[in-house]
Amino acid sequence: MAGTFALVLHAHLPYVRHPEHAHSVEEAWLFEAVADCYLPLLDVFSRLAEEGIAYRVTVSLSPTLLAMWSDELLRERCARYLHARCELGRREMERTVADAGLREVAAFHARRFEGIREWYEVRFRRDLTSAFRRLADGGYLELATTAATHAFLPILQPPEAVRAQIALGVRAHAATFGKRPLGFWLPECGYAAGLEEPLAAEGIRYTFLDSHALGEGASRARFGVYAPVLTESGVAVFARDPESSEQVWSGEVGYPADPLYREFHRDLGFELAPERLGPVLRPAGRPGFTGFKYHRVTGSEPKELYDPAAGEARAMEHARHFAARRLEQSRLLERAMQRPAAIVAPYDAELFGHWWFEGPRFLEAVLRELSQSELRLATPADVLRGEPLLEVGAPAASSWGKGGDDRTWLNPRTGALVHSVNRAGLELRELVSSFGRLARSRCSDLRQAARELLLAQASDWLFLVANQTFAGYAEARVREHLEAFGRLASGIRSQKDIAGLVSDRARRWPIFEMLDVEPFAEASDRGEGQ
Amino acid sequence: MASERDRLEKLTVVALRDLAKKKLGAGTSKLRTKAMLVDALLSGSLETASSGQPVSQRTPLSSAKAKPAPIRVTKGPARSRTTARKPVENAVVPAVAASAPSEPLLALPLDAQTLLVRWPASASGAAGERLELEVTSDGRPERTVPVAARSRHAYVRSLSAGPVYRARLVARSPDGRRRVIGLPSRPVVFFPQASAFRTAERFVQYAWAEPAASAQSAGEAAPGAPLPPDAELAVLGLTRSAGGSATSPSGSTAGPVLGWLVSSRRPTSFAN
Repeated sequence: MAGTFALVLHAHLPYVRHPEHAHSVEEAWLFEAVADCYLPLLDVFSRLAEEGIAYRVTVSLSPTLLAMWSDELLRERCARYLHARCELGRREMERTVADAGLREVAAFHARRFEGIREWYEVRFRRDLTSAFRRLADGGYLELATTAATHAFLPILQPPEAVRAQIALGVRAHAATFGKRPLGFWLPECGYAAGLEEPLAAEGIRYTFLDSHALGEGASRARFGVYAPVLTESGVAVFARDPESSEQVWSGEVGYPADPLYREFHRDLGFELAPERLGPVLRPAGRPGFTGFKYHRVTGSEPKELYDPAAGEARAMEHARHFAARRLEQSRLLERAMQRPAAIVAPYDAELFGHWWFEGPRFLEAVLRELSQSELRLATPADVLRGEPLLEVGAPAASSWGKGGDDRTWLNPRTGALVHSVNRAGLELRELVSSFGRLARSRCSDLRQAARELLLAQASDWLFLVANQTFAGYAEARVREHLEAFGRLASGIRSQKDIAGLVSDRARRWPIFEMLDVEPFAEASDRGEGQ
Repeated sequence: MASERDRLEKLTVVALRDLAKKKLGAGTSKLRTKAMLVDALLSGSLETASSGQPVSQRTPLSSAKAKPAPIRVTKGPARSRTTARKPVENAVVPAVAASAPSEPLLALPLDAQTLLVRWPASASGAAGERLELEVTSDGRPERTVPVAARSRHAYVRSLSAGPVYRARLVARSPDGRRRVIGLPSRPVVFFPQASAFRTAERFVQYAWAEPAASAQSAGEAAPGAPLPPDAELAVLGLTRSAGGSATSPSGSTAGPVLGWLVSSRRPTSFAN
């Protein structure tokens, strides 16, 4: 029997939508990811499928990302974003006419954005969700879900809030794709004892954890990270292979640091005079990323001009190296384990194309190489369908953040926010238990309070505050949602008519329209065991 | 307290500022936010609102409606609301109602060694009493930290991973008598050292069942049922040695090889 290689891409962005601004810097996170990452990945997956390449990839799509993909306002703004880049491309062709080298790389970006716009408008008709669904229906992708708003679950309280994040994530996926997911991406691979129970309750078969969750040294699982471990609740956990992870993620020895690859940080938006960029590209007159990046990593200053052909050639070399290492690794492991190894390589989807420009082409080449090898491309469900012999165990508390624990999301900078969010969680549990059954008229009020809480719980805000990147925006978002939650909770408690507030807030953040507040109620109120 | 807070929070900032000037005298200009004004009026002091953390991190704790959330409480059976409110460790020295908050202290692990403990504004000692924060480790005294009631929080540093910590506020009279104020925090353990991979030293043959076709069927084919004992299989000849290696049926040792393959180094990610 051949070993398996499971490529897992986790796609997520926090829910950002600002109709009150003509241009929002934060909304551009989505548009950049659509242009750099999601569309190029869809192009790769679709072309491979059209060519009849037999591949299997797991993609987890967060409910907040799915909500933004289907939002008409954001779709329109994304189209505007791409149009502006096409315009910039035309202007750049004129500006760089006197410099052959610069003009060549400018022309490359101009053609690239024209192509991306064509994919968005014509090929995928602005509907990325349907494009992923078609690939899943075709048997190429297995779509998984994650927590409703990507909360870091080990520090979330009370337990009902954790249950709600999981249940609502599963339900949002089922509502979008017509079937319940088999896999669940624990945000930031954050795991603490007991999390597998609400996953099992939602019918989840498997999840992913970081390598050290299955132990290190003498206390590791029998087959280390190269076989799933079954928890007592019946959910299988697959751990990240450190080697394939390091080859891609490491800032020191990872492929993306290669001098021939495109440099991420040098961007025309910070180098060209504002009048040349136009007002569309520089909201509020501030510099920002345009996606026109003319230099390569180089390895020293001054940076040299990017050569797309050389970058692509290097990506092909790296893909062959990566595939060869996986084959060698699989053979070694099989000899040592006397059973086929299951190698799992999970990554943030946004790495490919956005941070690592050549990433989608690298993945395409890896899939082509491995599809013709003895190593079987598989999803975790494929591995489990083989009905393997699994060790029963309890994973260690862990995450894939700094230090392997929760310090990235719970630290002196974020402690007060975590506390406030958890207090609101406790309050919502009390409100749902007290008012949920008393009056149906309060349902919409409770649902809106739940939406506000969910939006405040996203792990992204804590990450941004901890790293002091967009910290003001992140903290303001948490405080805004908690403040709204407080007003709604106060209205519910005092039994006031807050219909106006509810509809204003629901219009402001239109997500989880069909939200069910039942998971927020205490176990005893749900008719479950004490 | 909750109704008084509610009443104050309904007032405008201007009205609150006028009220604070009347009640607290000069110095109210440093109360920059509504929350600070409300806190100061509830406590009757300007110090409450101006001490401690930066404004952006201040979070009022005194709402009696909400219960503070412990982080990673040691695992146990689900408790009903009634039992969750019961004090656990202060049975010998009863709490004094007049100065005792009705909610437990909040104990929040800030990093791998530091506990942040917060208490509500309603926690206070009688005249002449000193307040102390007592931290227990696995039920035994670990640390006593003198605190100022109005600071409403304290950091307990250099704790170690593994034990179950619990914090409580006590008042000590000039003659040395001690009484517990309010409810102790819920138990807290640090992450992740308190947890390691645990194996049941058993293997099962995984049984796959295709999920039901319907998207909305709630009870669909969950593998969530606990593993049936008859699914358990012995793995022939696989035994774990003290050094962590394992012996396969053919007698080859897998452990040292896996030890080399399972690198203990974790790469630094770009995103995290």
